[in-house]
Amino acid sequence: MENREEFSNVLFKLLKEKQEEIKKLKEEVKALSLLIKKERRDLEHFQKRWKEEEEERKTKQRGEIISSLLHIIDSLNDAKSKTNDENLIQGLELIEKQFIDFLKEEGVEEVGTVGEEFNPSLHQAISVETTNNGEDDGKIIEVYRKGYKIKDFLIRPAYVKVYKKEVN
Amino acid sequence: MARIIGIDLGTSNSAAAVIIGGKPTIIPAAEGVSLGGKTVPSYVAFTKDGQLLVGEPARRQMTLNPERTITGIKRKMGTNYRVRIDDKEYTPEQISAFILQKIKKDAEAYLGERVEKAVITVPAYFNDNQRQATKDAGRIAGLEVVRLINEPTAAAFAYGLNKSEKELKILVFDFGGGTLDVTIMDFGEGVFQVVSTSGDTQLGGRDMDEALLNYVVNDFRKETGVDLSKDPKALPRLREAVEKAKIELSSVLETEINLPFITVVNNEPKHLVKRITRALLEELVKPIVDKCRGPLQQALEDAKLSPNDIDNIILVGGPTRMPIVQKFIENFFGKPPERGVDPMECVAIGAAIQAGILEGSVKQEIVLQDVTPLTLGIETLGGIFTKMIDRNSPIPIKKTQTFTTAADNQTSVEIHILQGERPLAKDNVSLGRFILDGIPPAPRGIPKIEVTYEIDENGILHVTAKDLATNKSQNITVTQAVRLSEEEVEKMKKEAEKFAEEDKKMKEEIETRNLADQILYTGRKTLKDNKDKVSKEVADDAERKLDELENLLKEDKIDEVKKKLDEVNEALSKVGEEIYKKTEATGTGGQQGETTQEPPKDENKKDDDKGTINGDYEVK
Repeated sequence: MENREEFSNVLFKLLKEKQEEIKKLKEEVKALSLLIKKERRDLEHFQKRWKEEEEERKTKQRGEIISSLLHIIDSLNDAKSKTNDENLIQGLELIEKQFIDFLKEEGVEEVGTVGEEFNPSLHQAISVETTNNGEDDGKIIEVYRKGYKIKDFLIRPAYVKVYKKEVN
Repeated sequence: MARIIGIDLGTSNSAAAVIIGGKPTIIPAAEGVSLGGKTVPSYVAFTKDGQLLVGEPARRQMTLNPERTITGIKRKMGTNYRVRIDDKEYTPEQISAFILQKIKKDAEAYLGERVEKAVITVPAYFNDNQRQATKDAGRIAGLEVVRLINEPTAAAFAYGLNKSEKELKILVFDFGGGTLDVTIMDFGEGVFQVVSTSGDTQLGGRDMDEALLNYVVNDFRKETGVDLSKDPKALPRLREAVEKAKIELSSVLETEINLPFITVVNNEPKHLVKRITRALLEELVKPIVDKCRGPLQQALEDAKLSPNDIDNIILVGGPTRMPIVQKFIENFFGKPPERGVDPMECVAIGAAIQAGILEGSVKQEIVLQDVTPLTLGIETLGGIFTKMIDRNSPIPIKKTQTFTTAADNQTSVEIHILQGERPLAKDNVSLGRFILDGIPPAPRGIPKIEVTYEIDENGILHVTAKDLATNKSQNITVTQAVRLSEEEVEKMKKEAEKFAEEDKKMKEEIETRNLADQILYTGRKTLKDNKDKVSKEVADDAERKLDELENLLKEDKIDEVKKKLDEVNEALSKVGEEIYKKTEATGTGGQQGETTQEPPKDENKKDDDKGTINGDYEVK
């Protein structure tokens, strides 16, 4: 009789323990399922983004490849400006044109022209010339090196010389 | 479960990272990858028109606009230094906040969600003032700085040393563009303790570039007599070529600087072609590398340690990618440094890991608590969106508000559930609607309809409307619509910002219209109910003004309605006064009385008892 009572006590205790355990486990499951939901949402978000940005990524990659070819056009430009041989200049211009046509086909645009307003999202100021004429303030005087962009992606900024109004 | 980002707020460059799918990921600057990698130059500028520029664009216009360009502000943190630009003064905190704001914006664009919390790194030697200033900068930028951590500690996190079971002595060698910081830390039982710091504020990678550039310029001058450093057209190109060569020489033994037609001498074009070997570069930069020895020895001495006592050496900063620097470290300590994490990204990544731990450490309480991404509300009179549950409220959540009818004897109301941030119902997303009918006929404003919004922990919205007179209720369960995609949420928030002004005006107009309608109703009712208590003169005046108001309202002249409302209120308060006096004089209890004045609630639109449509409630 006593044994039986003890036995049922033990069983009862065990049951309680198990109930506690189940409760705890349930809470854990709930917490984990919420975590999984959050992770899944993240995953969905980034998968979607990845897809959406595919075009953008391709543009950037193209821009990066083109960027490593640009020093050729810089050198051509230098060559043109540093020789007097008309015939040679003409030849160089033809090579340059081939290159420019290629860039155009790739959707690359030049940035930086003389007279244009300096724009820090496209141009980098290398040197400055002071002016008294307020009209000229902030205008590009000379383009040292052309910049290029492909769609919204700036491949490299134009290096420019800019007018700056004298401050007294 | 807002995300926490990690920010390396540096003297010349800053970077940010965040944990995505359990992995630290660098957040790219919106301008795209530039020469400096994914980082944001720590530059802030104001154009002559007062436009704010941060990062790469600010750096690009430095030469043109040096007096309005700020860099290296980190060195001034925690001091009384002020930046004066035109007529405005800025504290170092404010300037740093501009950089943080840009990082926050870029992070939000990258993650497609709001970013409100950050872990920011500071140099180990920063004092309390400097640390507080950094925290304040975060706050100004709209970021709650959940923790500041030391840069060397962040670097150690990036290498996972925080998970070590053993006690460690760690040396962090942070060799940046312009400064060298050496830190020795003790790690044990999960805690990093700074033992000693040392450094040189005038030593960095820029000196190395300069050394190579000078060499090439001198060499060319000897050959041709032309000083390229004086040629503004050639110099930037040469600088770029030199930097490129330096980077290449970290992986190859020989490279070439090739700049044809770089200049003209006596009508003859000159080409710059120069082969550079790694050996030559190393010879050139050796004096700079040797200068690092002093701070290293100093730090060890202060810590009373010998090079052999150091367990782990961590390299931070671009110049530490150079083999000569790595060799120098290896020789000095007799063991190789840790490898595997980009030394430019190391600190930001460590900050992100710390942020992730903080997110995780509160997992049980907060992180697992989801929030509503957008505000949930109900359409009320005139198409106004009345908020029930604010966005970013943790779920589960339950909110109750009491509404009423908009017309006399209205026996049904429609509950229209919406989600969004715009003040007008039509601009938000409709999640569902239902009708509660069987409301006993009563004058408008009398019935009480209790509306309850409840979101359970699974994000499911239950809406209940109950007529408190009859206890009759109706409800609806909205499942999927609460869960908009992040893009949709972002789009809606952006729209809300974009249209904020317009919406506000529209909402005000509707409110004015509702107010006028309410006053027309109560004013006329008062006059009718109290005919005998008001003098004809006062009553007529009020009547006339009410008519005028009604006409203006019909013609939709909102501005004039506004003005007229004042006049009407004045006339009606005279009415009220007389009623009050009469009532008092005759001793009849004053239950009628006061009419207008207090800004009334909504109302309008006769929609009698057809048991339909139109959100016509008022907020109690």
